[in-house]
Amino acid sequence: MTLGAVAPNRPLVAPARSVLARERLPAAWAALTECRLCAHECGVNRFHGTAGLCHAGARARVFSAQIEVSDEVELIPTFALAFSGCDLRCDFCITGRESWNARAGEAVPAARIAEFARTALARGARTIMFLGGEPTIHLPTALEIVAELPDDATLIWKTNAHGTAAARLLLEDLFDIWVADYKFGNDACAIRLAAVHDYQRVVRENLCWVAGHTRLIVRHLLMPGHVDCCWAPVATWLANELPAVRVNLRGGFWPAWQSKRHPEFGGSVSTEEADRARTIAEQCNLNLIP
Amino acid sequence: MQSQPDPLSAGKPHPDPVPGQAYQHTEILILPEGKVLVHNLTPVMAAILERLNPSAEEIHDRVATAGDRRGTA
Repeated sequence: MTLGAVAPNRPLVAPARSVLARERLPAAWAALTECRLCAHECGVNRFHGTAGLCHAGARARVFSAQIEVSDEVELIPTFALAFSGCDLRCDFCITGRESWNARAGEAVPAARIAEFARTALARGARTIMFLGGEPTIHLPTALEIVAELPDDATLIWKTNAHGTAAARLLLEDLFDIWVADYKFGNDACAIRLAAVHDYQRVVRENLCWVAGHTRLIVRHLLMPGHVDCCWAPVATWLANELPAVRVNLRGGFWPAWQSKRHPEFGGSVSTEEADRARTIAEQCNLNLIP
Repeated sequence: MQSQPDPLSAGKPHPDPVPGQAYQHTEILILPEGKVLVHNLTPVMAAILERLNPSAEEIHDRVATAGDRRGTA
């Protein structure tokens, strides 16, 4: 038998996901000494304080862990595990209190979280979803948990798509489905509403990478007054660059957290705006999730 | 004079929840026109909302999915 077609250092059988996660743990923890997991690339040592833009320390804290049914029907019931802290500062964040405060919730050992997750699976949860805040900034803890989970569980990475190539390298092949937000259609709205620069380039780079590696669902939360400046460019880009990707156009905006800072966020999306947004999606022939 | 707060700074420390109790929550917003928006919808809350409006398909799908998997109504 010849193995000539196989690359010399490539294993014939891919290691189990839990093994892969465990192997990457040293590199993931080391990354926190000069953190560049998100595209802010602060470069701070997270073992020595919380000086980065996310204000997160090294050990993740969890503010919610429960079975939920509010996500896409194909993913639910899901055991949703929410880490405190985020690298974005979306004024309309529905979990702003916990997402802007990396000290919210409590530090729960990975083994205990995995135990919660296994119990949820036994009770009928179909998937396990890692979210936040933003899970990317808590990659080492996330890997610790993945290392403790059954290899056949369906894992979902729910992200703001603002991670770096370094983060993606640590995440590759670990999650079955990525659910990624594409929130803003231009950099000016991203800066004004979420204090994030260079948003378009970073998010697009992440979405293209994910689409080439695993299953991707792109979410866009319709915001009042932002159909033309945000949704239309997002829809057009998706149609041109990722035409097959599944898109969830979400209409459940409510003026949460610091929304009052922005006059257009006085209420929810109007029926007229919602209709117009759907028309744009149809014109772009997007693969919309019903 | 106090300086303006840093928009990227953390808020007040959040009290630690009681494991297994404070984690169980759903947020509901009822708009003036009667529309109900829900976040972190749990199977239990989905069942309650369905009883309030059995014709809401979005909620029905979620109750059915949760029930199918759990062997409960």
